[in-house]
Amino acid sequence: MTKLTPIAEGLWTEGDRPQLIGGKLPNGKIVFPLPLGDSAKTMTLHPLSREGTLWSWTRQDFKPKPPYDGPEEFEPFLVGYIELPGEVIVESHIVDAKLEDLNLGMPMEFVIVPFDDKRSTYAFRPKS
Amino acid sequence: MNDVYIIGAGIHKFGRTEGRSGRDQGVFAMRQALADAGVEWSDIQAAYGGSMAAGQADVMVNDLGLTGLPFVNVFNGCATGGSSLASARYAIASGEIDLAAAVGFDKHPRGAFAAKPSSYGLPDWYGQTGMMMTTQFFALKIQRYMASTA
Repeated sequence: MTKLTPIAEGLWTEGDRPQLIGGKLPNGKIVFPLPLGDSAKTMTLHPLSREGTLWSWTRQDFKPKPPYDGPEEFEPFLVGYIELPGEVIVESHIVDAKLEDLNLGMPMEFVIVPFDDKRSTYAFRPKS
Repeated sequence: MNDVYIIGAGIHKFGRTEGRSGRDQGVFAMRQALADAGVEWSDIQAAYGGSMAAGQADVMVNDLGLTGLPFVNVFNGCATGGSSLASARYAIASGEIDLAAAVGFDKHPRGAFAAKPSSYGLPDWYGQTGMMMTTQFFALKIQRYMASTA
């Protein structure tokens, strides 16, 4: 298998245990995604926790219109909000689960997954 | 602050209305509201209104009358009608005017919105990966609400 290219640069750290890259604002608040423009100038990069809890979830059953850029052959996918303790709530794909498996507050862990046959993206899955 | 009352209301039937633009549906509702209140368009001292995707609300003066009233366009997503109503209320409560109108309308192609992330200060990958979906946002909010209150 050829190596997948991340869907965007600087979205997560490299290495065996990648972390999403959030930003820490001058007031200490942690944000994700990173702010754009002038707000980006005053923040510092802050790798986020690889573990969190499920804040909410749903399933995308129909193929979104562009700018969605997923595989031509659409498969429904799970998305949710993951609360990273003391940091921030992030929106994410959810993998290795079915809709009926998901519960409020369940422990989740970070993982990098294929997005299509060329690119990878980030997701969370129930912690094993 | 002065007391504020809603004295008339109008609505266009919800649905796919071929042959009538979103704004025309707004004009329809506005005429109904005026009739309900028993006032004329020329009595209205200020108007607030808008839509996400069906055009400028202030152009309604072409249909309703060029009375010279200030008509403020509101552009606030799903909250456009509510924000218009709030704005009309502020104007009356302030004592500046006595009679205002508020209108919200819209018309969309079938399916969910195709929002552009950069318009919302978000990076492109957020849309590319299929997370820039209004329907998801509402589902996630209601899922959280149901799971934490049921």
